[in-house]
Amino acid sequence: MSSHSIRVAVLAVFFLSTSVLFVAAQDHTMNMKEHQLTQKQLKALIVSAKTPEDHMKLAAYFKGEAQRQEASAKTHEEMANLYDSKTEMAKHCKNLSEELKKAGESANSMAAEHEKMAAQLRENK
Amino acid sequence: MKSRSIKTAILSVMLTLFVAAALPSWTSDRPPMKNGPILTAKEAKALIATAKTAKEHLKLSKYFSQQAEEFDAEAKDHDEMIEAYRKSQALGAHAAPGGVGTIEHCEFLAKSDRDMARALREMAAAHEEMAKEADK
Repeated sequence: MSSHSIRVAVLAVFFLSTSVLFVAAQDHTMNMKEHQLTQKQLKALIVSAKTPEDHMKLAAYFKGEAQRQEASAKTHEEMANLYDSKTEMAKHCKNLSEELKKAGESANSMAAEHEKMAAQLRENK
Repeated sequence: MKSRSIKTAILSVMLTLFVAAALPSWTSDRPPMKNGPILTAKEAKALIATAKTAKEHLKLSKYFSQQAEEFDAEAKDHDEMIEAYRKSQALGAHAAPGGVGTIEHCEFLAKSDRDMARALREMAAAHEEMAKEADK
């Protein structure tokens, strides 16, 4: 084997292992994100959920949603303070913040419903 | 021969990197925002505090329009979730109480998303007006 071929082989191995690491890192990030359910998976799980684990997965999804809504409510509250308090813009931001807080509470209630379903299924076992 | 091997190696690496980079968007089922979000929430807040020019107000208008689009998409998702919960009840998947509660919550969320989208559109329109004023 010529030294040039060795260099090419080393280079190829280096790039391939970098790619594998890159894919693994992306996979890890995706797993950390949004409680591992796409909208499609979520809807399918809602229809098919039968086990406590299924319901706990749905509960985790809705808890994540609640956190997202609460963070967004905080952002709109901060935005309201940046506009002149007498303007329509400030009112809109305040209303949005209130609406998002309610949406967060609703998502938390959905999480609680699914936790209840999981607990009941465990009891029935 | 050597240059061909190098070309093949580079091509395969590029292909792998392309697949890896595209993976998240292929697994997501909601269409991504066109060209990504125009502003982060932090940038939007900073711009609200300082916006003076037409260009800046138009940027905020676009930001709120994008947010409205997001809420419209979420409303659609919640509508579909209502259907999924109805289907699950029909199949008897939810033996435990709470099925009706989840539908009510989804209905509330879908309505709430639409109300928020409307409010955000009004904010976008208001910034468009401010842009026109700034131009004068």
